[in-house]
Amino acid sequence: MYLTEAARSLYATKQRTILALVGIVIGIGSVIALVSIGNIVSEEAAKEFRALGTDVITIAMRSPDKEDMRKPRLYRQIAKVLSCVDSIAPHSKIYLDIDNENEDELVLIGSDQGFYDFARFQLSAGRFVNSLDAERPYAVLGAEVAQVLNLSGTPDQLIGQEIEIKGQMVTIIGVLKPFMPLTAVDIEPDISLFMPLKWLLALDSSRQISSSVARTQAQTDTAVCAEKVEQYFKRRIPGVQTEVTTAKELIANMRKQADMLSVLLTAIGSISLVVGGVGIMNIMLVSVSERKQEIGIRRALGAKRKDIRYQFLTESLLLSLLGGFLGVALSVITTYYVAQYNAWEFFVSWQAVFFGAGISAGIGVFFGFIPAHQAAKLDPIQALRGE
Amino acid sequence: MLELSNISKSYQVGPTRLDILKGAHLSVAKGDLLAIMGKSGSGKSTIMNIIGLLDRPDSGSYHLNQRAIEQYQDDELSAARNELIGFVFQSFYLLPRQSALENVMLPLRYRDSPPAESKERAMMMLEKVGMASRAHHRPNELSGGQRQRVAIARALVGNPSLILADEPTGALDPRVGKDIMNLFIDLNEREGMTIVIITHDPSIAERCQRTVIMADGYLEEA
Repeated sequence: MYLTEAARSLYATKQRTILALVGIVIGIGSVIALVSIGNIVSEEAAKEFRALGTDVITIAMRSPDKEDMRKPRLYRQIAKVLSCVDSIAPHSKIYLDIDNENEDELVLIGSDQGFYDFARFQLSAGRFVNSLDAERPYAVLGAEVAQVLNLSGTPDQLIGQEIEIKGQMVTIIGVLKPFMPLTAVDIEPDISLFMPLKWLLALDSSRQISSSVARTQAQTDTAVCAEKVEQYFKRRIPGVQTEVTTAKELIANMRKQADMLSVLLTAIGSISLVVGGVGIMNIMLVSVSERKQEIGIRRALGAKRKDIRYQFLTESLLLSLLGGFLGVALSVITTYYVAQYNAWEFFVSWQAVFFGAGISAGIGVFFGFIPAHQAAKLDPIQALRGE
Repeated sequence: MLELSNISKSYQVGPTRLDILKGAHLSVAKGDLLAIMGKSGSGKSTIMNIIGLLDRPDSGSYHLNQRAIEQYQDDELSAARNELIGFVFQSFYLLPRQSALENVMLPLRYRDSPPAESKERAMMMLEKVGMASRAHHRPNELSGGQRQRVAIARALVGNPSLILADEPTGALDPRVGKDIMNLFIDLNEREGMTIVIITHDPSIAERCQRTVIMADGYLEEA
């Protein structure tokens, strides 16, 4: 009974109802969309680790003595010295600005077969660079690089072609199949060129091998191995500063960041929800003052104060639930397109949806209470006169 | 049936105190058709609000159907208005977004009677005032006289002890007003309905069995 009356009264002032809803729709929509996107992103990251394996260690180093940091052999030896290390991929990267209309950016990665083994790449054509290539100007293209560089032809036809990089002519020796981004080392293989590590080091005498990834042997404790790796480098390169991180720590860090992000988003969302709630309160106050006579009539016909209170509370509840529903719909649509645009797997976070519905109901009751109370406490005689 | 004794009521308007009622007496028997007359500002509205349980006197006693009203709490007053009094107002006071039938059903809603039953009873009342064919029209699709008939059906639907009409013909053509007056007289004569009409129009008062005049804060038989 209250419900049909509330729906009718909201419908009668459609335009105002819609405007009142804008705040809450955007508030709830953005909170749920951001939370859902956050969930999708962390799921994507988790997926990467499942594919890459959790037996991964990343090593970042800095040393005042450059020369030690420019010897790939020092890194490769670690797999022989430490039994817990299965493979290691020292690498170094520089960014290449491509002078085309999209102003794309490619990443040039100096590495060797260790990186290929580590990431478990697959080739469309040709071969990957290895340490025997030394300083030779050879390049392996990521799946989208040919397109960015405006090269045409099948992967097989690309092999042997020459491109100009950093003022040198470089021969294409391989093309990779599409591969997922490697967040752990901040590399997107599809837009990367892989060249011999020594070629890259020869380009700039101050360049160090500051980053590498390693995979530990099966049946070893990754954390213990990370400790051994750190000790190894400290012993071999005096004065080195190292930061060795296991995949588990990386995942934990990402979780922590995601959690912080959700706290932040929830805070921002709460502000917009309060704004939305105040919008609802405002519209309900207007509604009460416009409908004083109706309130007076109902009171004269026998409505108790609580009947009037429930009537207006039902209306604000319905209003905010409607807003919540539209907000959820908006967030699902937004999330869907964001996921599609980034080629992420789309899913709906049901807890976010229920959270949104619950919050909007709460807002309806909370911000509807003052207007409903005002309506209920009106004096019937004054209300009838519309005062 | 209705017994007001020594009713007084005053309002504070700025620094001055206005004594509107100074000890009014009124007794209405079941089946009476009574007109309360008076100039504007004489306290007609105040006495009507008190009789209609919309306002409380400062002092004096009020019995309606042998019930002492003056001690009622707000919710009890609401319930008493719903059960004992049927209001008819000068400007009808129908809810604009609801059909005639829904307007008539409204008082029954506040006593939680089942919707189907309410609908049936509301339909009967619309029939009684000759508005059954317009049951599903909204007030803005009805003429003034038709609206007042719907309002009278609403006043009757709860089977009240008293119909309290405040200038019921004030907003209507004289001819239509006469029809509405006929309807009141008909209800009074045929069904013994107790009706109190507040008016400043002598031609309305003339058609009632009894007239009291509100003057200087007192009610006097005419």
